[in-house]
This record gives sequence, C-alpha cells and structure tokens, in this order.
Amino acid sequence: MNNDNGDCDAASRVREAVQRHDGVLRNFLRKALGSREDAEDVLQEVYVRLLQREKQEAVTDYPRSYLFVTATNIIRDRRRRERVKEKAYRDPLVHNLEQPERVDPHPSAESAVVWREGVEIVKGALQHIKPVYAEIFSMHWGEGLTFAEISRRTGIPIRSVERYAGYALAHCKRALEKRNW
Amino acid sequence: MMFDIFKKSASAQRTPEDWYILNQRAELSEDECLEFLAWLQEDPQNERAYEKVERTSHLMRDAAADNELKHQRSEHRENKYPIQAWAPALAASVAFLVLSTVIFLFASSDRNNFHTDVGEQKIVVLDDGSLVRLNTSTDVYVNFDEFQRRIVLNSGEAYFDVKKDPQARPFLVEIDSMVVRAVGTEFNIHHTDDATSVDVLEGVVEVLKKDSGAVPAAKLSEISEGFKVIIQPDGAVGELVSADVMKINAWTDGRLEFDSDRLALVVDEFNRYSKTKIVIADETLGNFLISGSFVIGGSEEFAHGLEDVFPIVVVRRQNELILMSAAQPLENNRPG
Repeated sequence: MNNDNGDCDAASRVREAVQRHDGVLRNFLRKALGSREDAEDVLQEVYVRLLQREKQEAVTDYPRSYLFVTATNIIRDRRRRERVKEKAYRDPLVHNLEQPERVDPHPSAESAVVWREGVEIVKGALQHIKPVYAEIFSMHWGEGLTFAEISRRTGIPIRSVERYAGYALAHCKRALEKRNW
Repeated sequence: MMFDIFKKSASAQRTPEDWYILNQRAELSEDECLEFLAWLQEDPQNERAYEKVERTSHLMRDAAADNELKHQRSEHRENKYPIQAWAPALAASVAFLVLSTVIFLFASSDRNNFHTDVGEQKIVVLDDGSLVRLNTSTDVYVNFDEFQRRIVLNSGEAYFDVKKDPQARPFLVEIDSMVVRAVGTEFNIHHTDDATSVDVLEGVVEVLKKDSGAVPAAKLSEISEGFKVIIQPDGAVGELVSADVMKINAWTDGRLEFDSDRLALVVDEFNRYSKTKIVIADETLGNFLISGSFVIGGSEEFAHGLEDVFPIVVVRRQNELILMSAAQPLENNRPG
C-alpha cells in the first residue's frame, strides 16, 4: 500500500477506528437491538457510512461518541422504515410511494425554496438574541467547534456553553413554529 | 429569564433539545445512547420532535454559512459536519477490505471491476462517496474520469446511492445501449436478458439512448421518485409504473419480501440467490399466493416451510428441491 497520497491515510484512519472501537460498538448494538444478527448488520452499515464520509471529507479523528451517534442514526433509520412498512401492510391503499422522511435531506429541487425560507426565518430569529448566545451560535454552528472546544477558548464552563446552545436552538425552533414552518 | 435546558425533575425528563445537546458530547456514554434510543421509542412524538430539532440545527448551520463573511473567526476551520463540506477531488484509493468480518465492503478506485457470485452481495464505496450495492450474480465496471462518473452494469442487479460530486460530473450507468443518468440520488437497476427494470427511490433519473459517440443523446424517459420503467432488449422503454420500493428495500437489507405474489415468481426469486434450485414439479402449485419476509439464502427453510402451509411435499434430489403436489384424494383432514 502506497503512503504517498493523503487518501490512503484516510482509508487507514477508518480501518484503525473500526478496529479500535469494534468490541465496544458491538456490545452497544447487541444491547440496543437484542439480536446479534441485527448488530452485525448495523455494524456493517456504520463502516459503510464512515467510508463514505471519509471519501467526501477527511475526518480528523473518530472518537467513540462519533461512532455511537452514527450507529444510533442507523438504528433510527431502520425503525423509520419498519414503521412505514407496517403502515403500508395495514393499509394497502397507502402505496409503496410513501417514503420514510429523511431527517437530514439534501433539499430537492422543489423543496429548496421551502428550505431557503426556513434559513431566512432562522437568520431573522438570530438577529434578536443576546451577544453571548450569538457567539456560541457562530462558534458551534458556524465554525463547527464542539462545546468542549468553545469552553476551552472562551473560558465559559462547558455546561454553560451547552445551556446557551440549547437556548439558541430552542429560540430558532420557536421562530420556525411561529411561522408554521 | 434563565432558560434551564436540563430540567431536573424527579424522573429526569429530557427535552428533545437536551438530547440533541447531549449527543454532541465527546464523552457520550453507551448508557446515554441506550437511554436516548429508549426515549425515542417511548412515544412516537419523541422521534418527530427530535427530527424537528435536527432540522432546526441543520437550518442554523446553513444560516451560519450565510453569515460567514460577517464573522471572520479562527483561521483553522474544523468542520465536523460532513454533508456541507465538499472535499477536493481525492486521488484513487486502493481497494481494501475494512475488516475480515465485514467482507462485503469495498472501496473503489477510478477503474475497477466488481463481481458477485450466486448468493453473494457486495457494497462498493466509490471515490465520490457514492454507494453501489451489488446483488446476486452481478457484474459492474467502474470507470471514473475527470469528466464523468461512469458505471457499466454488465449483468445483475445494483442499487445506486449517488452523492453530489465536488466536480459536478454526471453520474451515468450504462446498460447495453442505454444510459441512466442520475439527477436525483437513489435508484435500482435490474438487468436480465429478458428486460431491464429501473426503479427510482429518491430524486429523478433520465433514461437515454447511448449515442454512437461518447456523449449520450435522445432522452427516452424521465423517472421520478416512486416510479419505474421496464426497458425491453430491443430498447423499447415502457411507461411509468409504480416502483417496487419494498422489494428493493428488502434485498438491500438481505431479505426477500413478497406481498401476495405467485409461488412461481417467488421460487424464481429464491433461485437467483442459491445454487440449490427450487423446482415446481406440479405447475398448478405455482399459483399459490405468498406473502412475507424471508432471509436471502434460506431456500431450504422456505421450501420446507411451504409443507406446513400448503399441500406440498418437498423432495430433495442432488442440487434441487422439488415441490410436488401432496394431493391425497381420499383423505380430507390432513394434519398440519
């Protein structure tokens, strides 16, 4: 394997993360799903997603929590599909066309306009919050810093950072609800 | 007015925002994840509420990106959100197996051939992050260059999950003299000598006739989400009908799913995945209707399962499972 191009490092990063966390992840999945087979399926899906992300953007490291969250999202997707399937079986008129809602969608051509509207509502809402919340917003949602990093840089205790972030989140959510978005 | 996000009530109830914030923590524990999954299941409202919070957060990310110019912050931008960051084109990677237990996962370089045997399935991650899932007895050739992302489907069935390309190259799947161009994101193609079926599960794809040159011409059909077309060997493109969403979700999940389908058709499906073929000796048996979900590769269990439900007897002969009519003309109450 040649080490002279960055992409091979990326591939080996994924492999290393996988090997490092395999046991813990497997344990978690067995508890969450109750079946060794299902755990195996989800585990494979986790690796697929890691590899996909690595292809699209170099992730600097894979803490265990990142893998937990990825696995949790996969479990949620599976449950969503199960629910849709159940609904369709019980009501044959609800055709195959009903698709489980994607949680983090790329806005399709038609809904791009709706998405844009949502972004503008959020921008408007953020103009009227206290500077400290705006700072947290900018650092977490803008620069992608974790709460721990924000705490380190600003000196604000981490639980306070989380509280401010939660407020910003709830504030934006309320603004969207008010406009029936 | 203080907004206390972590309401410490007697039962330590957490709001969807609480959970969202918690899930960002680097020290997130296994117990917390399990609690979160349990909370989601407690009430269908919880999952919906959480999705709302996720959507809000996604909107906030986009809002922040809009405002980027106003807030020039650190030089070292660490973006932990993969969806928005378009990485520069990655050089070809070497195909590798991630883990010996995860033996069906491959990473593709620019030019690669991938093949599955009878009953085998593979997942291939392409250079742009797109996924191709190969079903049984499938052969594909990946050919990415600086202008196009091309896949040639020689035979079999594959499910495509197409990601946006940083270089905006079109994603094209060639099947004989046809080309399917992905405008949307997820679709399934099943190619046999009898017909080619293109089912779209998300977004939109175009079916084009391949030109004699390298550039495809003549758009023959546009298929949107939830629809499919069947293309004949002579190139005739059928009309839009409903896509087989459940069947496709099933095979990509390692299962076969049927909804009042004729046994003859079900047997054909099972046989695709196994070297042990099920043979229907008495034609009339083929009309029994089957519904249910079965594990791929479980031909033997399926055949024997039929004995419990239908007047069928399974006889094993070398590599075949033969279904025979269990007609008992004089007996009316046959046990089981």
